[in-house]
Amino acid sequence: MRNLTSIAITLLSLWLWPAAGAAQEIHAPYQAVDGAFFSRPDPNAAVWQSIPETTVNLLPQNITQPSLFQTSVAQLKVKTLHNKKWLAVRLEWQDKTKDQAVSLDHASDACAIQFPVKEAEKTSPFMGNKGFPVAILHWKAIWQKDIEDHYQQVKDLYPNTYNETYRFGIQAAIDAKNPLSQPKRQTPVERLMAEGFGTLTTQAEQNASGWGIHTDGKWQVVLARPLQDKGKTSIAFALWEGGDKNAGAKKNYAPWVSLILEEK
Amino acid sequence: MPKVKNWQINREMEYPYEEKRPKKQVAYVFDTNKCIACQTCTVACKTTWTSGQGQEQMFWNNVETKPYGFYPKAWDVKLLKTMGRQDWEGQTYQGETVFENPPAGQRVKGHLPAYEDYAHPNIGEDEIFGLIEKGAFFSGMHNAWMFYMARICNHCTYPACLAACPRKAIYKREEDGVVLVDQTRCRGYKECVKACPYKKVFFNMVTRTSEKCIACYPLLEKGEQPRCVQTCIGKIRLQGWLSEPGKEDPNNPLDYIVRIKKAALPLYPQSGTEPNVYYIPPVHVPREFLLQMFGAGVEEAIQTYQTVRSDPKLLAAFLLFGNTPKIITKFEHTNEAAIGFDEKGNEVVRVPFREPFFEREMFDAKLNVYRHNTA
Repeated sequence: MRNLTSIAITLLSLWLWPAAGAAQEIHAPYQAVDGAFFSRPDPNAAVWQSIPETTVNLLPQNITQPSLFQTSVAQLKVKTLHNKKWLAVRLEWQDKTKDQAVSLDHASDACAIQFPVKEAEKTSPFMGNKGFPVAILHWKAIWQKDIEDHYQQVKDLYPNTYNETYRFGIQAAIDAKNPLSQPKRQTPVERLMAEGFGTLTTQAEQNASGWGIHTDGKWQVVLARPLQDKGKTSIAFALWEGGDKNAGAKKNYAPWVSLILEEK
Repeated sequence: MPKVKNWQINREMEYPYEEKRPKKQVAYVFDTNKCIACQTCTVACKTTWTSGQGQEQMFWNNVETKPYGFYPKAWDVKLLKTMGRQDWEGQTYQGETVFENPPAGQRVKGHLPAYEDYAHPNIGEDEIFGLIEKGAFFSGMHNAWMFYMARICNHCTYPACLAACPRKAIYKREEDGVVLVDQTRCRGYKECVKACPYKKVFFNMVTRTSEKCIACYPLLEKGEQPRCVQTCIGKIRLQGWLSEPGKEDPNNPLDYIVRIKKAALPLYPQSGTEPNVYYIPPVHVPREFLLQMFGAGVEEAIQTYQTVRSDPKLLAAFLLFGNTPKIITKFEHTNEAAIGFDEKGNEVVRVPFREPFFEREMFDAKLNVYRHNTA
């Protein structure tokens, strides 16, 4: 029965995405903001006030496993702007809990935006497909805390932890330069590419930026990257609610929405 | 989903990937009857691999008291509950493995332990099952029981951790069957921690990746047994290579003990992962409990073990335990000794069936002292 429901939801979402894409458009107006704005884009900057807001509905990811069957966050408010060199996307969603820790019991709040590298019509919104990759910007609350505060350690979550063997310790993932294990993180936003499920790959050039603010039970996060498109492209969204232990494929998403880059 | 052959449950089963066995499979035999839970293996492993930040509660090797010891807390009780009914008909497992009929949206049946479940790695230590009747102490025998069980990663033929990873960050080495988490690919989704029936993949909250026993592969690669095996003072362990089913070599001690004599059994074979640490079951424990833990071969294994005196070849294989750091790939025996050889055919160990016996004079004239300890 659960499998049937899952198939039904899958079919429904597949049917929905071209329709939603056709129906919905997000406009990114040109704004004469200088480059400094994009290095740590402020979600509360005055420039956002004049930008139109689009509400995007989110679906629970259950096309692949592990799956989610109920959304943790149902809606996302989107604003975008560009200055011909950089594109910034501002996301706002309801989230009562500010989750900035990762452990066996904790998952971090996070969001991501995705762009097709080639034709959007041929590119699967679900992490792309063979020959039609997607470019992803991924922001995590814990990564921002790593920068704001310091690289999060065991004692930050469990202050009474005691250990006297650290001097012998090795940390394989740090030595292996895993993109998750960066004691000196420069940006809370990671640039990635994917060509289908399970292919998510970090990029050598990490020039994306972003910043988030959690206030009044909601996150406001801006993600920014150098502008690569002209005219019309598409954008897709993903949200992870750490409080619900969302991680990896257990996420809330919205498939392709048209993104219009306005000249003026 | 592909069908694969699992010899431990004597049937085909579903697995997300095709059957592909390594050239040789890293495997271990642990004799539970000899383990005294001294935790030397645990400490050897801990100081070698997991003394770093984020690994505070991580023991790739642990020794727990059964039935009431668990690390992490209640891991196998939860496994058995998750798996439902587990009937055996003869040597064939009739229930479902962790890969068959998983809940919607999941690749493998499993449970994710909580952080605090790892907080008491030696919980239940030395606790016995049952009460000792008044006076039983004087009668010489009583029915209360417990035993020690040393546990490491099973380097399964069909790893559940590997099956559960959505981004193929876990792989099984073709050359020796060692199962590893690729520390450059892992993105910390914890699906492997949830899926492993034996709870031998751990989450490191500082690197934010999952980590597990690596079978001390730097040692394996130079022909030596892992640290936990080398340091075992009770000599309960033997590590070697297991051949593919059907290609057993009676001169390979692992093949001989596990596949030919069937004296050592996999832990919870009903999981379906084909675990490769084989236990000689404790002879004094109720058979129902052992059937649940080691599968249908328990009675035969114990009988073989208890009659080892009449089987010099098996006895020779047992004598190889803990007597050399080298990996023994072949063995033979004479009337006097068990002899182990390495991959190149060099003799690496010779163990006498009977320890040489020395009788010394009570009085040492040279040192002008009596040799006795009852003064």
